[in-house]
Amino acid sequence: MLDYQKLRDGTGHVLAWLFSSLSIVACLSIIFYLFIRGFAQINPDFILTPPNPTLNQDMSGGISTPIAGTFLLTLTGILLAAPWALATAIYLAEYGGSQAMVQIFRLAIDVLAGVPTIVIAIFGLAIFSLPQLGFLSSMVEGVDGVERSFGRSFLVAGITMAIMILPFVIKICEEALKAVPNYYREAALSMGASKWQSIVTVVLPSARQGILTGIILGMGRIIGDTAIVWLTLGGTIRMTGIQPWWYPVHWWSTLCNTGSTLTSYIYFASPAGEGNMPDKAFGAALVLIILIIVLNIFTDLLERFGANKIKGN
Amino acid sequence: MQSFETSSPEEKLFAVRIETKNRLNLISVRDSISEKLVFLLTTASAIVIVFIFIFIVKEAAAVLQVNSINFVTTSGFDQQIINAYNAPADKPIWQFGALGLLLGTLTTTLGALLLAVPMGMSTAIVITELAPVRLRYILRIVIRLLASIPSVIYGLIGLMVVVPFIQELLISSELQIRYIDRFQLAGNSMLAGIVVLSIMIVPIITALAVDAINAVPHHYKEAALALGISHWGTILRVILPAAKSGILAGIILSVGRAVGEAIALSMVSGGIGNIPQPGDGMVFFLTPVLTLASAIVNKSEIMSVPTIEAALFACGLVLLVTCVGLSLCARLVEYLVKRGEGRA
Amino acid sequence: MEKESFIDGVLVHSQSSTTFSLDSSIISIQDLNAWYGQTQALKQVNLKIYKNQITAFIGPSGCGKTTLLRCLNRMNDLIPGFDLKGSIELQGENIYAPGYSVNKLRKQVGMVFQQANPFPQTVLNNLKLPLEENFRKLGKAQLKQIAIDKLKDTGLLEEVKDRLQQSALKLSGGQQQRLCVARALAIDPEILLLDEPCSALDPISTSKIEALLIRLKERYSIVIVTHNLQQAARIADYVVFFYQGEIVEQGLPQEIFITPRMKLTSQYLQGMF
Ligand SMILES: Nc1ncnc2c1ncn2[C@@H]1O[C@H](COP(=O)(O)OP(=O)(O)OP(=O)(O)O)[C@@H](O)[C@H]1O
Ligand SMILES: [Mg+2]
Repeated sequence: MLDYQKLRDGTGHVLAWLFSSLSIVACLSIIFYLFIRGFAQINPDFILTPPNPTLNQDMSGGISTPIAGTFLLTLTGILLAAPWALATAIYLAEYGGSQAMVQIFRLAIDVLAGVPTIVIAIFGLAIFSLPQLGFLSSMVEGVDGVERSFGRSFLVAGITMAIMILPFVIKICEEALKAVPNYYREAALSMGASKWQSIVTVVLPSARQGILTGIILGMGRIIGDTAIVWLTLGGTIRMTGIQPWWYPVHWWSTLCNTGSTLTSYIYFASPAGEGNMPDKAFGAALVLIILIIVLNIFTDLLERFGANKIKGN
Repeated sequence: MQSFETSSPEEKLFAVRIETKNRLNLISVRDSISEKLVFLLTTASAIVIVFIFIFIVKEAAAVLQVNSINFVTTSGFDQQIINAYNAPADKPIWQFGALGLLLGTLTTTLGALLLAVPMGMSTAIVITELAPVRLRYILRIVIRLLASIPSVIYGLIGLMVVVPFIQELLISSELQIRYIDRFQLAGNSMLAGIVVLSIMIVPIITALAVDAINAVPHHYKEAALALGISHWGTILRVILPAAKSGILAGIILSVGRAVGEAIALSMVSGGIGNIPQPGDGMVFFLTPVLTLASAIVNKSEIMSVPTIEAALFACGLVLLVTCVGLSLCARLVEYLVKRGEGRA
Repeated sequence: MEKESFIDGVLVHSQSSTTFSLDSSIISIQDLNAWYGQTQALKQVNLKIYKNQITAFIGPSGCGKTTLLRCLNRMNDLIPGFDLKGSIELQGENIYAPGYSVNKLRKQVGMVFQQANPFPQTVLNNLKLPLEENFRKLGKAQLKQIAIDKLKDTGLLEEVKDRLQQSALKLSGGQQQRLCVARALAIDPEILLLDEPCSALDPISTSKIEALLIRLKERYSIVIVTHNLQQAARIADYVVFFYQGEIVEQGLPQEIFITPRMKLTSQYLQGMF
């Protein structure tokens, strides 16, 4: 006899395991494939020489400046986003009650979280093309002959990245702050600390694990994003600031000019971009994924460390 | 020093009082400054979205004025871009119609959802209910990793693996010849876009569904099991319905992600704004398409032409409105479901 | 034949022991030991649950009442690290034997939890869901009829008849608890386990549930955990006193409440711990 329930339960189990194995296999084969294709590329030369825009794959150099670009951009982005997001999280978690204002703030930040990065990218381009903000990039002459700001540079991309990760980091920081038990605050206040003192001396230190996790995850997002890089840092592969770009006296120039990151390099080097040197793209992709995995391990360790600490208490 | 020694006890006490008062003042001044600063930055975070709206509307205004609703009801975007590019600077062409892009976005998103929702939900159920504890942990790590793989890598692999695979498996030269007047069949297609996109959003759906299921109070599960309902029956009829609001919100969020995905789709989906014809049968899925988001990336190099720039910002505006709508929708759904259950 | 007596102001009201038959046990527990990880929660428990009687478990907090109750329908299987030795036989079959169907067991042994836990669905769905899952073959109208009948049985129908399509979470605590009883009855068990069903209820809801239980024992065998000695005295036919995982004393309520044999029992009854 065909028992409906048995049939349903059986198919349910089989399908669930089947579909989930499919997604797991997809993930593992992506990583595996990247390692296979990318590993042949990885050598000190590839990591340490700058790329050379040529169609000859053998002459096209390495990925030193994209790696540097990734670090530069991540650093700029997170240095802007972290304090900004933390301040917002502090306000929402510590000061804001449940008034209408806070609700509106939350809604606005929530909506921002849902805006696609490509839209944030063109927003960055639009706002930083204003001549008044030209000091963040460089001035160019438009097709209509009017001087306008180029709107593309590490600084511009960094600020745009900061906006992109802002709601994300805010959320994680806010959760970290909310997880601090109330009696910590009460203890600090009862010992005569002011509200701000109690936040700085008690709440933030106890929430630092969560805050750090938020910052690292935010960095991961910056490292992985391509749309913002492509539009606000441009498709140039080399650093375009005053050379050599790494001299400390040239840093400001480097920041105000364009370059590439690992992601934009991969896009450029893939058959979809102009470079068309897929082997190099896979080499860069492997470096990128290793960076991402390292960040993932970091957050995992942080989480476990946090869990242990709570248990220890 | 000298005067201090000679001062009377009362005077000393007075000095101390003044000092504490000053310190207290200092603290309260610092407190209020910090609070104001924090408030200011919060306002800035909240106001960003308004600025995004203003700037994108401003840049898109010219195209929207000329085309109004026709921008989303007429097609021919690729040709219009070429026309606009070739137009002399004193006679700019403002005619644009992004219906093809809209349909490209719609078909890839829906297709990806169709694949990703069952995959993501199954993975979430396995992680929360079916797998042994050790495996759960490993699965969570894998899903988290999958979620953090950059879209350009998905695009690269899609381009190097999925696209050739589709070409080998599904596209014969006869087929190519048959459709040569309309478009070139080369593996870069809606189908490739759907496959890549679905793998990208599976981890999002999974992660949010896992959170939603874990948030279901354990006593609902106990109640169901104690009634002799099978484990799967419990999952299906009690746990998933109780997690419904979170799961729906997650799916809506992933729709937003799929709609807004630019890079990966610009690499694999074909890059031409064809309108897929359901009459084509299987070729419907093999049609090269362009989505709103990937159009912005694809045409970004010729953005210096003001008409094209405005057209791309108009695409951005459509995306922005859609995604804001989706965010609000997710909130509404969550609220409605909770209210229906009597929890809000 | 009914007999009433007072101990310390506690009204003992129970049926005459002539209707009480020790042969008709439905569950028999032998040498049961249970552990949560390293800590032992039950030690050498030997006990019979009698048919169509109300058995009450009493004892101080943490003495293992809930643990034993949850062993009877194998709800403890869900707790990682839980382990058990000994046997529990339901109508002569060991429920912990390999291959014994847990779902079938739980259909025979219904449970009402300490905290009312209706599903976050409509009142009617709360009853229809277990019915649909367990009696697939019944028609829609029949299912609804059973659901209504069970609501009537628990005296809830009058109170909620206009709210059948509303969320069960909007009912009062006592109504939710009675809904849970109705839900447990819907699948037509033979045994009903209740874990402190009245601990969160006001005296009126409590007496409604007590009256309900006395009516229900015509058809079901009932095991109830309670901290309320008056309650045990009012409704129980058989009382089991636990202390630190062991059964100290078991017997008819008259014996336990009036002439306890063990010193621990009388100390407990006098509220000494
Ligand atoms: N899930 C669990 N994990 C570990 N230990 C448990 C668990 N549940 C109960 N215990 C332990 O087992 C012992 C018996 O617990 P049980 O819940 O059976 O007591 P109880 O008699 O029902 O108490 P109460 O009257 O407070 O409900 C207690 O010492 C308790 O700490
Ligand atoms: Mg208990």
